[in-house]
Amino acid sequence: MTDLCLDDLQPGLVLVHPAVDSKGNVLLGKGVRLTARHLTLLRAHGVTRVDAAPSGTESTGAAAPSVQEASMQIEAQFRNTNPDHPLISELKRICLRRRQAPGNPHE
Amino acid sequence: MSDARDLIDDTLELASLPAVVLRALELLNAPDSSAADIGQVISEDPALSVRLLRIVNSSFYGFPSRIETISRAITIVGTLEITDLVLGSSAVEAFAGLPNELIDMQQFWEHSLYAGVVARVLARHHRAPNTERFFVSGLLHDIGSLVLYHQRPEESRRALELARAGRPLHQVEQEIFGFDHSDVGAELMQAWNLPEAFVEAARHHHRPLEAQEYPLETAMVHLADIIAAGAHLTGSATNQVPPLEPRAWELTGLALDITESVIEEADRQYADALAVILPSASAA
Repeated sequence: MTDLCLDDLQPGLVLVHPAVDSKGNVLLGKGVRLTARHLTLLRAHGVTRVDAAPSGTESTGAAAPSVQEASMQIEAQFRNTNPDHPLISELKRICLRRRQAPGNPHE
Repeated sequence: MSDARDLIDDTLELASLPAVVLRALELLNAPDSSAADIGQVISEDPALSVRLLRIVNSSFYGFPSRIETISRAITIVGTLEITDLVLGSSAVEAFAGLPNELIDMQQFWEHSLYAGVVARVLARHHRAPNTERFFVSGLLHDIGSLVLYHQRPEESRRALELARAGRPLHQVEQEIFGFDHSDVGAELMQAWNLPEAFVEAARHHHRPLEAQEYPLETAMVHLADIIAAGAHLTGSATNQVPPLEPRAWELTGLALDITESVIEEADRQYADALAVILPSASAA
């Protein structure tokens, strides 16, 4: 575990703990692999330090919620929507993938 | 909707648009005014001019050369677009000082900003003119919530609790108040004399098929709200995705398979917009 100053962060590092802003809002979840865009986002939120480590040193299995956990969260979040509409199924699919691999949505 | 309107009178004293914005809006609606007149009015307000030039020079716009003056910004970005941006950023400012213990204001504006960016990206896919209008409509779609939180904090707290437990917020608000945040937002915008497109998109963003004059803008804001509540990192105040009007997507004529690329593009634009549109986010 390494508490790093934002200026020392490199894309590719993985968050050991969630990155939070000054009010404790979670900006990026544990296990997110940082991209250059994430660093811009963190800077824009005034985050100065995060706990990140090179990939592979984080404990395995803790990087992202399990498919089952993520699916349950998404079902709860979408419970007021129309599950049969193709846009909603498409959105859920995208959300599940983002939760599974929140660090590299464009890769 | 007299009750929703009642809330507005008290709000106007607390959150008003600066005189320069009202003057620019007046000129925009006056048939004999020119783009130069509007530029002149905006230029007379140094703080607004600086803010506007920061926005148009940011990577959110990505113009290849630096825009140094308001008149140049109007020439390049357009009169309508610049006036809409002035409106949007001034409305965010107007509420900046309003205390509120119910929700995290940063989270509120982040959801709104992401919805605005998604509306802008959808509008570009649709090849709609003046995509900034969609952006600002999305940015301001929930502004009525801020009025409710401030004027009726106790009932709003109850509404939020019920919504977080799993019911659509606007339906809970209807039961508690007899109106919801979309009615309040529309009334505020009307009192501010904002263009009718904003008023209608705010009023019907949960019931987009009821929009009469601006069905496309309203449908886009409805969809942007849903996409933002589902896909964006910080989510909405209730962490619930609002109900989808099934025909709203058809109304836009967009293909479903663009959803993922819309979200990816919105992620990129959001990071660019955050620092210039919500300056408080980068002030820490």
